[in-house]
Amino acid sequence: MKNKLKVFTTTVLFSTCLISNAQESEKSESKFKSFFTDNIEYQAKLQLTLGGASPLGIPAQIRKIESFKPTNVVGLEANATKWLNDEQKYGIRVGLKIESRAMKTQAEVKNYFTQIEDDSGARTTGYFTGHVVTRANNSYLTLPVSFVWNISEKWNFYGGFYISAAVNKSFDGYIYDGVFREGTPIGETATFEGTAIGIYDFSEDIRSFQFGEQIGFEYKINPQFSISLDGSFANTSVFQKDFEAISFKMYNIFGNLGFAYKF
Amino acid sequence: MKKQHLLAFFLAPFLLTSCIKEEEEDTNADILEAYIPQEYLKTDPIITNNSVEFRVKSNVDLKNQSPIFILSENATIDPVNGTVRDYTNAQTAVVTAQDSRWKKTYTITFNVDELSTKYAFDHAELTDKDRYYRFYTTGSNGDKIYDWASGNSGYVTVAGSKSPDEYPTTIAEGRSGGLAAKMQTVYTSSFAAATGNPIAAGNLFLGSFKTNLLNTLKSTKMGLPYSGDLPKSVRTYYKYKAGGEVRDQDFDVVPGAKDTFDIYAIIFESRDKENYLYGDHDFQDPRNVAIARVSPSQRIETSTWKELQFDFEMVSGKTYDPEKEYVLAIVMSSSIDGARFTGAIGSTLIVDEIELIFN
Repeated sequence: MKNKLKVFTTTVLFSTCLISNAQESEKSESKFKSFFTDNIEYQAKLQLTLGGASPLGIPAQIRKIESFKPTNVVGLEANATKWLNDEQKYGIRVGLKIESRAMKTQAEVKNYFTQIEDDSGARTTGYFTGHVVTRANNSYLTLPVSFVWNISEKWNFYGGFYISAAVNKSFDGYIYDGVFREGTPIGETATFEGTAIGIYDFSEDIRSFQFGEQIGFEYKINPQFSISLDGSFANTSVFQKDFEAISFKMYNIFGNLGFAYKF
Repeated sequence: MKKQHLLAFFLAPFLLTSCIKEEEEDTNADILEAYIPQEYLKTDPIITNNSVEFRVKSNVDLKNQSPIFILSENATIDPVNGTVRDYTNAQTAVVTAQDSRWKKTYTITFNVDELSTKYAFDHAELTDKDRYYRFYTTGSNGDKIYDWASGNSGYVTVAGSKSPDEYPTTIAEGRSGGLAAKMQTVYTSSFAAATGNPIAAGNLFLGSFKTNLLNTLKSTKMGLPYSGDLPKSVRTYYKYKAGGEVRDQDFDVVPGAKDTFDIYAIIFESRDKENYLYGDHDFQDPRNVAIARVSPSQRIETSTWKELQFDFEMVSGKTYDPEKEYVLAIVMSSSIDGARFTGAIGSTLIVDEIELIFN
């Protein structure tokens, strides 16, 4: 297992980091080998995630967040840190992780622009005042690249960027208990009451690639185990650029609590 | 200290996003209720998303009327409530929401005409952003009168980009030129299906339809004021083709069932409030006085025009007084159990020239 992980992370390192270290790869075989054995650390990390697909600042259409529940909070990461010199003060860390960006929220909204749709492809857009349930369950394969600064014996600081590819896209929900006005805020009304709901499913509109930053700290409990806390902030919106069924842009904003084991 | 900083750092994005902004201004610009002196009215005012119709007695002086409107919260109306105007012809009033970007122009009509006893369905116009047809006749003052209503405005919510011809109620070529009314049973949508309305039967009825997609039966308000002699029968011309499998409100196939159409007329007693029958009346309303309904043996599929005539039958224990005010509902549907969201997709009923026959 340990070896497998090493091979795995080495491959990642090889495929990404090597480009910037092109000169070194041109050197001798032994030098090449030592790059992966000297001044390098390998980590496996279990990650607990808290956060959501969120607008930057809650738009006025959302009157009240009635509930927020993170779902599928567990992620797994393997990474390699290459220290830049023997002092091991500064390093570059490249990882690969599989993580979920999942949540369930319930909100009270006023004039919330949305699109309810149907399996035959018929779509109706309009303004809804009432309650909205949103379920997001997106999984991403993420490649984080961070600069690591060893502040003290116990503390590391790290920060950098990441790219993500969505491997599972799911974003749906429903509106209920309220009034939907077709087209405009003064359009024909459809009242949702009792068990009546209007379904929406924007899973196919989830953007396949994400780009963003992460920044965080890790605390070394002992030479093998460490705890980390970091935040990741997407620069790209959760949905594709031309997506208009929700009138505000949403971004993946997450905090991650990590438990790492160093090999 | 360090840890506190850390905490603040990580909580910051969540704290920032948890600030609820100040509520925006209301955008509703609706007339919710409309009032004139009760004794003027033959029935409740008929209010849609952009019109108000008062059906009034013939002795009402239309030149000096000052209706009062109850509006959406924080909305205003121009001219203001109580303004005396001449309603011989339709007037308009503009309702402006609290957020003044949103305003609606309502057409306000006073209709003194007696209900027609014959309709040819020769006049129809596209309405609501040209998405579906509605039929009209022309009143004595030259204004359009919309006696016939359908569920089309409720279908808008699930129609997507469907053309007017694909709506449950639309137009067809008439028997002798002109137009006819075409009703067809269609699939609604998965989310309407989830609430037990998987199909919509095409319908056309005397009355009004207040859009409420998910409570269609209560949206359907059948009946308009009627007075005069008791008609002997209803006569019309029709074509009918039944669709394939009959499906129920769970969209399950009803084994062995074949769809058929329905046409009926009910004369019922008038009252001040809620002076109509809802779509789920099931012929059981205690106000019913006389009912004429196409008989089972008359429900024949035909691709050529066929005459249909069926008699009014008195409801037992009821009498008819030609001096009194009644309400008349004439109802047509492409699926007989359409009110129970049961029918065959594709069932098509075309009707032309419906008429009350007197002795």
